[in-house]
Amino acid sequence: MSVATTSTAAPAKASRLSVFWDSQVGKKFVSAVTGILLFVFVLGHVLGNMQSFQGAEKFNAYAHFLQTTKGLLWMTRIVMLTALVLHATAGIQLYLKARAARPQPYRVPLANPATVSSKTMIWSGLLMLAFVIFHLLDLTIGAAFVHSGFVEGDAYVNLVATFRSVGKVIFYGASVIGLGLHLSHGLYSLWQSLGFRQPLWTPTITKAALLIGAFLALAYLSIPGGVVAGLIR
Amino acid sequence: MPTLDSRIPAGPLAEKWTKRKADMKLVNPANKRKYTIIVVGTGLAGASAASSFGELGYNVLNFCFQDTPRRAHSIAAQGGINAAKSYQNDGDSVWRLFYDTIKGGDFRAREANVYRLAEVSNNIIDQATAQGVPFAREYGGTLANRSFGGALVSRTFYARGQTGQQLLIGAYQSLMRQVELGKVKMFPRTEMLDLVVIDGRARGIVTRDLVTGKVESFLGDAVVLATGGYGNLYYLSTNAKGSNVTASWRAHRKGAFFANPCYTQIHPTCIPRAGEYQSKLTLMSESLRNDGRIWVPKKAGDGRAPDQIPEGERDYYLERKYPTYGNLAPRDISSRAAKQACDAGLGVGPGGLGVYLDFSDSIKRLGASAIGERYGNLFDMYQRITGENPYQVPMRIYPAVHYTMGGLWVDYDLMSNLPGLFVLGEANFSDHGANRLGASALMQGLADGYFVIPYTIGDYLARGGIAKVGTDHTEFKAAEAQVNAQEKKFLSIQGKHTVDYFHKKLGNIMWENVGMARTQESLEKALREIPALRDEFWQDVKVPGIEGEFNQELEKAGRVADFLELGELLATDALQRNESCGGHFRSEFQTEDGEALRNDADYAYAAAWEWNGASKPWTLNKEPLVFENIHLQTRSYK
Amino acid sequence: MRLTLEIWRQKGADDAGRFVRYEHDEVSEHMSFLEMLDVLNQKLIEKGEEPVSFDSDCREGICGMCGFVVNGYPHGPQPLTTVCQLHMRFFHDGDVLRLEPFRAKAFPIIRDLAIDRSALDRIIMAGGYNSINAGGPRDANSILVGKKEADLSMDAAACIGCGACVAACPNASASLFTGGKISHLGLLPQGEPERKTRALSMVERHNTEGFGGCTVIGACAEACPKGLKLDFIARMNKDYLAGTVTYREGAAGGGSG
Ligand SMILES: Cc1cc2nc3c(=O)[nH]c(=O)nc-3n(C[C@H](O)[C@H](O)[C@H](O)COP(=O)(O)OP(=O)(O)OC[C@H]3O[C@@H](n4cnc5c(N)ncnc54)[C@H](O)[C@@H]3O)c2cc1C
Ligand code: SF4
Ligand code: FES
Repeated sequence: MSVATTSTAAPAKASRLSVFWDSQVGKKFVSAVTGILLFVFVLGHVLGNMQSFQGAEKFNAYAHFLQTTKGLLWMTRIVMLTALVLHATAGIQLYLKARAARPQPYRVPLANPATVSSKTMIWSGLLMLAFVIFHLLDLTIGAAFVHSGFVEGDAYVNLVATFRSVGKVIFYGASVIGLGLHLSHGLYSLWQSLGFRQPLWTPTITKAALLIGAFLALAYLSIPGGVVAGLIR
Repeated sequence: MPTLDSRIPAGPLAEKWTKRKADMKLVNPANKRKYTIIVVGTGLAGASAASSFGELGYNVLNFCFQDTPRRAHSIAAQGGINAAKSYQNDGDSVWRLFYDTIKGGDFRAREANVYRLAEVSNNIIDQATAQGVPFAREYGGTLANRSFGGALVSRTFYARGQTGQQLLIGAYQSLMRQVELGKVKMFPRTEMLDLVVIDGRARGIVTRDLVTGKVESFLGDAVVLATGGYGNLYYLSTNAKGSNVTASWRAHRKGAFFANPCYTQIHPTCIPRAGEYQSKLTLMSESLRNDGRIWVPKKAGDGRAPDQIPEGERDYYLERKYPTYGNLAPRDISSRAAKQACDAGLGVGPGGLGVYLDFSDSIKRLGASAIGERYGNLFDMYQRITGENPYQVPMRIYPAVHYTMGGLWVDYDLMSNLPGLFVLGEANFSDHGANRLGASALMQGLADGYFVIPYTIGDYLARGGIAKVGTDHTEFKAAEAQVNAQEKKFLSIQGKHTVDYFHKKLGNIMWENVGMARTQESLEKALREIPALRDEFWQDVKVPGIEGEFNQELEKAGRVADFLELGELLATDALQRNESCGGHFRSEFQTEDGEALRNDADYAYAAAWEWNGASKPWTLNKEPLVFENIHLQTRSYK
Repeated sequence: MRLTLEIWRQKGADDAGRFVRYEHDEVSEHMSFLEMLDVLNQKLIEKGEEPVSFDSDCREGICGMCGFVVNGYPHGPQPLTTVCQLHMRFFHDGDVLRLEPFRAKAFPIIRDLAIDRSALDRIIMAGGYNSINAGGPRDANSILVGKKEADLSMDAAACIGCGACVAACPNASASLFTGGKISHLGLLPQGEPERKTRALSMVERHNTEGFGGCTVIGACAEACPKGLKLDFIARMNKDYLAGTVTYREGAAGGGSG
């Protein structure tokens, strides 16, 4: 046996950007940065939507404001869509790479001490991806095959209508629980991906990520909860 | 009889190495890439040599039997590495390191080599630091030192309890850099099975690829062996399971002289063996003796638990016999004392092969946490292995084979009597005489590899006269045929007993008769038993599997076959040396109070043994040891 | 005591492999795990069967040559312990133990429990060193290193290259190994000149060797017999990112120097 120089080093011609994207660190960096953007959006989104507890008028005014501030709207849409695509691509590629890195699985499963959230990132992520697509069709675009009684311009009615459907509530509920799980690992691991990790801060970050994840999941759940409880009608 | 020319440069001791370097022929830098150097071994000696050759521009072929060069046995060294930096301002100097090493070696080493070792010791620390070896530091950022046995100054550098590991990783990293650059071609899991000598010069090796079983020849302009020590001859030792003598031994059979094989170091503080199945022995750092007291019960066969034995019925035998040094008496002396106690039936633990190393007084005096801070990791290791908690019950320790001072004979340039064959590190015999001091093997390996061989090999190559041949030369073909034939032979015997069975038996003969104390009678007994065992081995060994594949039993068979020959030579050497010195203690030659009795008039020489063919007696060649600079005296530690 | 062993037997990389069951009734609690297998092998050879291949050398937990998975735990269930240092007293009479090799694409199986980990060497080859030649360095004490940095560097340098981190990682990533080396050298002033380029070339080699990426699961650190921490992976990421930002053509690439 001999260990030879396998000329596996990145070819000199490849652009730095593509080498960066190809490397696990680069992907995780992109994943962390886009993750932060997505997190900010998700946070803003739920806070905004919780205005539904204040009644139709307030909520529709908020929705109208968003709809009519075209610059902000499109900027957000473009940034978020890009972030989402990059985030999902990085995540899926990392997952596929990991699968390829162990073609022969263990016959006795690893006694893995890792958290559920960390091991299910791909699944919680895919669930959310599916949900986001559905959600856009349902409440943003109002595609007829998803949302029959869609009323253009009346976000409040649409929201209430959606959460009257048991199937949609279950899908929504599962997805926001997925979101909570995803965030409880994501908000912790992104620091690592960005290269910050101090033994001093790690326990705090771990706890904070868990709390924020749980808070967001609950916040999101509160909206269908409100509908079911009759607080939002 | 070939003359043994040690080629020590003339002139004052302190100028010999400078002079030698000045007199050397140099290879034109542009021509270096035309030379190929074979390096067998990737321990401290081999890795440092191979990477240095690569840096100089030579082509290097480097071999080891582990799956990566980083696992060579040097990795296991715990304590530290000596250097005469005198950072502590405590009176150290090159001269003092030289003197301590010669004295520690019981005046059986070459002055010039040892002086050079002390001289380059400082460069090693600089080199390793530049490589990024994380040596222990003081708060101010300077390097820390600790003291070690056999010295009154603090000159040992260390990286936690993993000094060998860190130094080896430093050398390995430099080596991997050369592999990446294409200057060194690395062959892990490849075992050298023969040396090829053409026109009197070492020109190559024959190897077996341990994964595929392929037997292959490699040609070089010089061959460097850095293949470690042969302590595993005793089966149980502190060496790694794979450590073996095969490379040196096959070179010996091709004409290289084997020097001073009887100098074996037995380390006093190892964990005793627990049963028949024991596969190796684990060293507990010597530093434990700073705070532990060694004792045995006064009454033979005292079966009480240690804490039930009152103070008055304990024998703190080291403190009693050596009031000045007490528990810190040197390795050979402490080992022998433990053996004497156990031979007298006073030993403790299973089979009565152990003595107590008791920390209870220190724990009472300093508190368990202070002791834990000093030795915590060692205590943990002890507990992991024995299941006993040394904070509560005394440790049980027993001596074990640890290091071999003997090895292939080399001259001042580290070249054997076969031109073109160089030998470095523990595999050669050069620097430690009859006993090695703690923390000086690492120093020697790296001195040889980084700072000696890069110069001396250049001189050899530059002098020319190396013929152009290929691996199709008849000598290569003959060696390959020999290797293949031996493998076929092993696999065809299909006897009753495993290779380990014979290895254990051999180890037992060696330990009982050629161990810590030897007598004419015991040696003669060994010389009867070893050849008989060897014959039995060749008739009754059972090696499973086939040649052309990964076959760990086949690997072992070849190594044990060589140990079965070396054992005989070791006993022969011990028998001819009618004196006691360092690691060689002949019970007939001791002072009234049981100390080693050297005989400088008749035995101040290195014994270099020449192979004359299987089952023919060896020829003894003597290299007289000349002491021009220090005065021979008796070691005393009373 | 008596144990039932189910050991993965596989003749070579191309063989499919299977578990084979052995009843082992000569186990002493004082044996190490590998001694327990030695005894089994002696019996197998005497019976005319093929012994189980597994790697080991130092048997002191320092060379990193041993390693396989015991009941789903790389190196067995004892924390901070290599399998050569694992003793049978931690098991019980009647236990069933399943032994599998470390599994990863980058670690092809040689035979039974023995694997080829040379991919780890190639990661080091890409830049796991300070590019200096023997001869001529400055006096060691002319480089001052704070005790804390030296100690932390030593923590990272303690890695024995066993590959248990890869074995434990659901992504089969060697990030802990790679991050350990990048941290060991990068924490010291001697390693500073190449800190960023080293991270670039080592991470990229890690990638091309077929290891998975780190998703901060932490199974590696749990399995690591030498206690390397996830912090070292963060340091790798940081140096890699810094290296990317400050990249200049011709400045990266292992071994140049
Ligand atoms: C437990 C222990 C603790 C120690 N502690 C210290 C200490 O604190 N301080 C100190 O100074 N010394 C210490 N020593 C001694 C010291 O570690 C060794 O003497 C030294 O490291 C030997 O280095 P080496 O390079 O000569 O050989 P090794 O490190 O043994 O390397 C031998 C190399 O040769 C290769 N090899 C062997 N045979 C063949 C073959 N046939 N074909 C191919 N390759 C082959 C092996 O693969 C390996 O790469 C200790 C030793 C032990 C056992
Ligand atoms: S990081 Fe730990 S588990 Fe991974 S190779 Fe190093 S010592 Fe083994
Ligand atoms: S055999 Fe060396 S670490 Fe286990």
